[in-house]
Amino acid sequence: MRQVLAIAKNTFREAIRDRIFHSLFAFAVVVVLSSLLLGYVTVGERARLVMNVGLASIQLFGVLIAIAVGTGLVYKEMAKRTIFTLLSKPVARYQFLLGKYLGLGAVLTVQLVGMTAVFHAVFLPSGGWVSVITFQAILLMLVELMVITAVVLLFSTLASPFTGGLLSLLFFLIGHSIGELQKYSDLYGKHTTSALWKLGFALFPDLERFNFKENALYSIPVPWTHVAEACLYGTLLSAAFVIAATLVFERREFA
Amino acid sequence: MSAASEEPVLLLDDVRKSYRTPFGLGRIEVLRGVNLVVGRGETVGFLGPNGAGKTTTLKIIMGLARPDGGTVRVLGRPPSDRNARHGVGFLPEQPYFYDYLTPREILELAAALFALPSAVARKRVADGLELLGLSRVRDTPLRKLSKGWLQRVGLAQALIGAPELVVLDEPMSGLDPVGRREVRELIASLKNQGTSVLLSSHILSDAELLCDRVAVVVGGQIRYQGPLARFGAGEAAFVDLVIDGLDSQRAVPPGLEPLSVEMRAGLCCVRVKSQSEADSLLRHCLEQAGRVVSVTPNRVGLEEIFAQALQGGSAGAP
Repeated sequence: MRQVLAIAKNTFREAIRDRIFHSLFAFAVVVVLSSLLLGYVTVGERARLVMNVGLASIQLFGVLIAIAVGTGLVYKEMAKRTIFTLLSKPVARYQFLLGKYLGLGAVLTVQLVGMTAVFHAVFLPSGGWVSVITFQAILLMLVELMVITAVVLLFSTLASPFTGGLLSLLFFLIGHSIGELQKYSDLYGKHTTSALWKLGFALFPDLERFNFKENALYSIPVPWTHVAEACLYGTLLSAAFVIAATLVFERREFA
Repeated sequence: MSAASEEPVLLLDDVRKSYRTPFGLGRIEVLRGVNLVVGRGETVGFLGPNGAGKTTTLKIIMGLARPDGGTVRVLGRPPSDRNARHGVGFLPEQPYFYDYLTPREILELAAALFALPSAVARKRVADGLELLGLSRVRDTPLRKLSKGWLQRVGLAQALIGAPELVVLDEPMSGLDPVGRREVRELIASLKNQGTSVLLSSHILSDAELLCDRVAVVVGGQIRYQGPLARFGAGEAAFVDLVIDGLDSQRAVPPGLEPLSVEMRAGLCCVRVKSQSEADSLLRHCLEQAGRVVSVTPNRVGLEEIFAQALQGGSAGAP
């Protein structure tokens, strides 16, 4: 476990000093602050608008940071050959990947906490309120980000940062529209009877299960059992993707 | 001595490795049955020209690449067993590190990867910085350090786990003469402590000074294993002598036919083709009351030796 934590700490240190992270974080702060201006030019519902923009920004920039920083996680280690120094130590490859995963997870947690603080600094003076539902929504954003990170990690072992980034973004977009896609497919699709098609829909992660932004927006209570279910679902998905990444990485040779 | 301690720290038996060519059209054979043994406390030079398969062999030893065939045992275990790596230190060729870290942070990371207890880790980090002369730059980011400093950091991280076997890939690379001497002394001290060393290098003089024996790899095969002198490298191709107080007529004894004789800045410079000729020239000079300024045996170049090995020349059987 000490090896995993050492790699996680190093990954955290690397990502937190990454210019991409700084740029995206700064941009996210600017976007949340700009929601304040939008609030001034909008008639009524000012707080709700600030919350809408704020929560969407927290999620979007979290995903962008996960993808931008995460796609280089393993690839950069191989390209820069720093991996020779790490894997020549008594470190199992799964420990290396787990360390990378947890390190980036820690970065995303810091980002989320920071953004939540900025969001509330803007939201509360706009007539906003402190609510458990908001925190539930943000917690599930973190769970979703951990799933995205696991997917990014898998692609990072397989492909270049550009391809990996593109595939991860596609995963995020499909994951959030899989329910809608299934509905349209059932109504108009020609393949709805195909077992493979149905299996594909059933197995593809449904990221909308982590989306409680509307509940926060309209103060609709979220039972903790739903939160726990979503957390369990996210943990299982993350584990599956990290295991897949490990299986790929175990076979990898370093030229 | 127990049976366990008699076991070699490193054993490679008929190790083969090939890589797929681009577009998967064929395979390039990099290693064609490498046999190599490093005994406990032994320092073995692993020599060969560029592209001979040295680095691939080291990567297989460290578990970074998998052999297609053959047996590899590191401290009695396969390289894929991470417990084997508890007793091994590795310096990759031109070591690459996270340039945002400092030497101290790199060593702390290395110590953590060996899962050393905190107190031991702190001591090893301090000792490593001291041993490699890194104390002055301990908190300087690596991106600001020269190649020579990075090489020292690489050596320090390789030794952090107090290894039984140290695998060094071109450890003198990028070092200035003082740094080279210090690293030579460090490797010699490892030998004195009983640590086994596998030293991959293309610099013959380093291997000569440090190694108990050498293994020469050419074209993916070990062409020679044994003492360096027996490989032909111990033989001088010619010997240069510089003599003061004698002119070119008096310096050369009758009957000796030197390769060249010339006067430079009042000194007589003589080149003879063998050590025995150099010996008779020395005796003659002393009889003539001349003063010997220097005697330099010039060895056969390593490239020449590799060329001979390629042709199956002076290289002995593995």
